Amino acid sequence: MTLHMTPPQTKTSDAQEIPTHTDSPKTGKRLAFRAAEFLILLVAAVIILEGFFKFAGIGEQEFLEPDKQLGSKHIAGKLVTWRMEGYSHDKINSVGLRDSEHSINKPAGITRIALLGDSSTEGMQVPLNETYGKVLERLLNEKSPQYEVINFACSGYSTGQQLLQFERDVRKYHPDIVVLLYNRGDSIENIFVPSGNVLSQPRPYFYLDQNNQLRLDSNVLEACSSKLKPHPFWDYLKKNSRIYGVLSATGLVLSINENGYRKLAAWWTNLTNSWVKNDRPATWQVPYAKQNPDAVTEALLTKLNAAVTADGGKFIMVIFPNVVQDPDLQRQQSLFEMLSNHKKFAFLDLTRPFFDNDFKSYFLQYHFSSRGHAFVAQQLKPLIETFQMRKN
Amino acid sequence: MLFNSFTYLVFLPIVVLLYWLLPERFRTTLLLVASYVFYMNWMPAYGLLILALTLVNYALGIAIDKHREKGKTLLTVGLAFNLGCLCFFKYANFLADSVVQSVNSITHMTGTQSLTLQSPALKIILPLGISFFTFEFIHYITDIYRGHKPVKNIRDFALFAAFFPSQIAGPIKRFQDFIHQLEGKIVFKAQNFSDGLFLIFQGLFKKIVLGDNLGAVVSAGFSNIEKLGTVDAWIAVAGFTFQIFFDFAGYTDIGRGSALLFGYKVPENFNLPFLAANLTDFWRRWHMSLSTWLRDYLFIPLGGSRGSAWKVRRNVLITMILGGLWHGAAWHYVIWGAFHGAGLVLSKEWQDLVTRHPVLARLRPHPIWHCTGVALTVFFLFLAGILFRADGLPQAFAIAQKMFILAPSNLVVESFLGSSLPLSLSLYWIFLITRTLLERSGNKYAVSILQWWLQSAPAQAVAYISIAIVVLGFAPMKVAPFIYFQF
Repeated sequence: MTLHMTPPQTKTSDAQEIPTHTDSPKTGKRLAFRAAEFLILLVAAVIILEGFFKFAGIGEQEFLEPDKQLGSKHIAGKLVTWRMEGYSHDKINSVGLRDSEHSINKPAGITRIALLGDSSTEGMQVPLNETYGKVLERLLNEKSPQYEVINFACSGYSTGQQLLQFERDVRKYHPDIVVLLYNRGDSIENIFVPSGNVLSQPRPYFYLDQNNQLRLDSNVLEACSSKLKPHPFWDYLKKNSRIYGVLSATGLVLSINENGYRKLAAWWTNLTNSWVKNDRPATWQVPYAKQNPDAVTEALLTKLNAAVTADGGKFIMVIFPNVVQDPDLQRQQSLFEMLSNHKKFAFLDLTRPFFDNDFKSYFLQYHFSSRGHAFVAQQLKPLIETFQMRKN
Repeated sequence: MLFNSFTYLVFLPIVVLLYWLLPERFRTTLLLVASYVFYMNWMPAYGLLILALTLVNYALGIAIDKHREKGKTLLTVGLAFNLGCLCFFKYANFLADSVVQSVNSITHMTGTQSLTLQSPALKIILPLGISFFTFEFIHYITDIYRGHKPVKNIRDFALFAAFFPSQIAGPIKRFQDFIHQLEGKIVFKAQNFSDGLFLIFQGLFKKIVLGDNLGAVVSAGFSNIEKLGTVDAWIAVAGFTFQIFFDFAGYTDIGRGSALLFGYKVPENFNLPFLAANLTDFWRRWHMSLSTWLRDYLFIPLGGSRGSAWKVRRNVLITMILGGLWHGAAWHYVIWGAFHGAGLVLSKEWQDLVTRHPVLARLRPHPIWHCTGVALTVFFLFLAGILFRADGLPQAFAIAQKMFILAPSNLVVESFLGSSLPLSLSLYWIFLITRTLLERSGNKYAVSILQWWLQSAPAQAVAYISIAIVVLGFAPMKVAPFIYFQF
């Protein structure tokens, strides 16, 4: 067994020193030969690496693409091997859901449940069959197949994006029940917070106007419109290249872990934004007053509940204790509980059940483990069955 | 600054570029400044500590050489000063807690709970690498006392003490070798540069791809001991032994590779340690710069192998217990050291018995004998590794128990199989075997490939870019610090 290596030792000659003088025609020829050798080897290395990564399921974490209305969406039909936290190896379905295939037409006698949420519901960290959507479906259908659960969740989605997604993509599936798993940071993601000269994440934001009416702010999306346009080369790489996937994932990991990288990336974003057409001018001002994230989120939830109810469905809001244990969450819990009482939608607070059980084993680092997903499903099951009993 | 951080990725190329662009007379100063930047990036105030230790030891070296008649006194002062610093920063919390716990145990037994003491919160932050550079200072003043000439140039001495590629976790350098290189003419050698890059990428692969991913599997085991099955426990325990190797050997490779980019060679720390057929052999191959330091500055001054068998055994035990305590201020490190000490004593007794017994002596050259020795040594290392990794003795006993009680396994097994480790470990083995075959084969094609590789800068550039992408591809989400940084 050999577990140690030494650098290759030269067998031919001692160390080669950098030549101090050169014969220019020979040097030119040699450089051209070296450049050609480099290019040929690089192409060979790219082919070998792409093949190896495909075999190993590496670099297949790229699964989002730009969307003009929602900011981002899943790449339909993309095989994703997730290794950054937990592990999964599944395909995004043909319409861009992290789920198995579902027909738009609802089968007769089936209660359809639509799940809205972000990465916690999307569950890339566990195999598809272990996400709480799938577990819930199995639990509900233990006696007879009566339920269909469709997972519409997408990483990074705010409540605002979920509302727009409901109106554009979910409604046509005619869900009987819509479950929204609220994540701690969603509230702040709903409003636009200008941060220096760096453009915020391209997504639709919301605000309350002078008459307290909920309004969509597409300014950032419009400012980024050139970035959100499909680009044949980058789109091809994103969908097909594992090396691109590795480099993109590295950027994400570094932006989470490395302060120095974040600063450099911010500087680079500023620089590149100045080259982009249709970009927001530096003097651009937010055309409305500073927003209260809670008030905007309340308005969004009210609108979503109204939209679901108007379609004859039931709306359930679920919250869970975030693993970072944000003290602000408790304030949000009380707020949502009051809102649910007022607007008559179901509210399931999983904070206590989580803490009363093996809290740590329900999370990997930031997201649910398989146990966590199973636990959420078990908690949701009785509530859904109660709805169904009332309906019957 | 971590070797596996983005900051180092930016820092190292800048320093290398400046180093080779600057006139030769400024290079040592640049490396010295860079080393302090590297160290103070973590905690600026501790830059003063390393500076103060450097100045005091420099002065002591000169004084010992100048006043040979008072050499012993000055050496004693120097040892007390260096060990005092090490003990204060490393062991003050441990000693205070141990005293409080002992007093509380006595008061509990005597029924005088009203006298129960609270642990004093000393809040001393351990300066990174203090165990390593303190040992280098002790080596320096001891060797001056033994007759070596001190370093005259304070800048050279300061660089010896602070050289960033070996500053935080060794290898523990010998000043004679390092200063000899500093005094010589450093010229840019393409081979050094290539070897340096090779070592850096090899180190990153060992640390990030193998060590860090093994760390996640090991953590899954050690944090859920009650849920472990038999195979789970074995994977967790074996995983830790290899994790610490890949972690530390990876660090050493990156450090040695970084030094080579500047034209300096620092000592090797590992020489195929898992091929050792007995524990004595293992310590000749594992963390070699520490084991030779312990031999030269502890074991031999204690009497070494001279004197009666009991004295030699005592010396081995004391050396290993103190070696254990050097790793960390906790009782399980002390017990780990004692375990290794006892193992070394038994190993020596067994070797002597085999030599004396004609039948056993005849069996010794047989390959099966050798393989059995390797297997038993690795098994011993697994058991010792439990003591090293566990939070305390109860946890160590609990996991050791799990290894020998038959129970179905899934937790760690699933974590291991679901990770990239089966593939990355296979990749590592394939690489090692291919390289060894290429290097040892007399086949003309193999020789041609090797010659081409050694002479082709484009091939090396493409290979290093590819390795970098592979390392990034297999990297876990969270960057883990090197295990030996805490020592």
